[in-house]
Amino acid sequence: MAAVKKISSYIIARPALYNFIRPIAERYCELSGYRKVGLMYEDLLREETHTVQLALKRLPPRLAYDRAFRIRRALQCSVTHTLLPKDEWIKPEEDVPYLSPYIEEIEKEESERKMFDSMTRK
Amino acid sequence: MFPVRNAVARGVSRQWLRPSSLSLQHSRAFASPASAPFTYEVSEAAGTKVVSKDTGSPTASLAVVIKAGSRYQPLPGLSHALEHFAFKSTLKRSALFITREVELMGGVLETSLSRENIVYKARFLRGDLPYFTELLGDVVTRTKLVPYEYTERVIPTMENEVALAYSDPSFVALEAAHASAYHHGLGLDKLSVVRKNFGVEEIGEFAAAAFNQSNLAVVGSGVPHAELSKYTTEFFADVPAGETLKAHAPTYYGGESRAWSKSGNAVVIAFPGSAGGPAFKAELNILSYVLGGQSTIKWSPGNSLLGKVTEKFPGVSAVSKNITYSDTGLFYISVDGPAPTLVKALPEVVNAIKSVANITAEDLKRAIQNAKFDFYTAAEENALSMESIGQSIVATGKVPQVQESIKALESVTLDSVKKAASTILAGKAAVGTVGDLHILPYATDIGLNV
Repeated sequence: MAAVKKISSYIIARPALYNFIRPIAERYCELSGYRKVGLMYEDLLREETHTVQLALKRLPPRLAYDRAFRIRRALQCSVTHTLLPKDEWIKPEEDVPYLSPYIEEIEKEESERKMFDSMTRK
Repeated sequence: MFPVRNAVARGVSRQWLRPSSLSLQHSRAFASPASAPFTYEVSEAAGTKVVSKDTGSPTASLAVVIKAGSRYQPLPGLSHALEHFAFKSTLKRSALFITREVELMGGVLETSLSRENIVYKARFLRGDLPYFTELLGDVVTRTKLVPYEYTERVIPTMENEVALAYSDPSFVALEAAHASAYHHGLGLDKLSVVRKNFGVEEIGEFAAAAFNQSNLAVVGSGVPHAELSKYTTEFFADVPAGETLKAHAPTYYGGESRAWSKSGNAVVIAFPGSAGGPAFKAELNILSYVLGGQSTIKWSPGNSLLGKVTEKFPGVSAVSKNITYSDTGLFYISVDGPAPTLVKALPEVVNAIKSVANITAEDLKRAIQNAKFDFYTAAEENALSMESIGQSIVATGKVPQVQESIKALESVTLDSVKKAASTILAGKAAVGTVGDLHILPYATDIGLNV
């Protein structure tokens, strides 16, 4: 998560690069098709890690419910080999990072713990 | 820079007992130990009340006493939850950071909850005062109240504490006595037994209403007053001015409540007691020492009235105390032991209160000496009695100096104690009975009015 964040902030800080990459990124997201089955990007993050599991536990009830709903709906699409009707696709502006703030928080806690565990008092 | 800490580092060797090893400003306290061993200095630091005493000891304590105990909570359990949010993540540092950093400095962090106050307390080496003032200011003004800390850390510890407290029949009986004595406000449960629908928003609202200049006081012990007020001005600057919290007026009702318990048997017999602060009635305090119960000598039941009673009933213990609140107080005797023995002991306990009418001048003298000893101990220990001092400051803006309180204790007469005992017996008692209700008697059976 931290690495992704680093790259994206590097790009955003440089307007020329940002303007060049942005259309490519948007096209990539569109082509990858997850929005057409009603998913948000952060529904696709690998969740089989301690960090993400804890982050999922910390989600407010409303967000957790919506996430479960989206995943079930996408699964149904997958089983029936269909896409959602076009008006139910996730719009680019709806595709927001809802989980990564929690993941970053946990990563920060863990790095803090590591720092304290390995520090020596001078 | 910190001569006291250097003295400790050289291997204590009682260096710090000698005034010469301390910086000059503290030596004043040692010059005339007989007349005024500790003087509380009171001031306001940018609107926040600060009170402290400096004994020149190598360790110091700092407490923030907030008038936000259970009698002021708008929802049951809110104060308890707020107390448990102490030293959790703030805008400046995480909970882990606080814990580890304080460990590195050799500090101790504590919190306590009473019906009147929430107390955040830190004990530390004298030189670390700036750090701990900053930490407490941070905790009071900038705790984040994160939802997941509430579910992951606060609720489990709260439930643990409730389970532990409620496995002690004496505690449950005291809660029951409070309920019969006051019904509302002070009568409600101190801990979060019933946690009605509230989350961090409600806790935050309560904290916002409670954490203001008219509700809290910074109490220091073993710290120079000038330094403490300087740092308080700096680090408590964000505490807003505000209104004091209102509680239900403490009307004393009296009565009886009984609860079944498998974990033991206890009976608390309570009467209207003395309020704390300037309104303190010393004769009730002395009365609790006349009745006594808790022996000060090992392997001896003691010579107090309750000590003589419990001597006859193995397994039974009886203690009398006076809890002071800001505007009222509860004088109580807590008796516990096996149910069949308790049945026989309880009438004798009530007789002991009646027999206060026959005490001698020596009994009174002994009680006064015991009371003085305990009072001085509490005053000279850095960490003790901070809550009562803070409570007095928040409620009245004044704190009784130790010498005044000792004088009040010494001037209690035989007649005033006898009168206090007969007055409380003539009035209604508030009784909490917990345990085997099939055996345990009702209040009227043991000769009390309820």
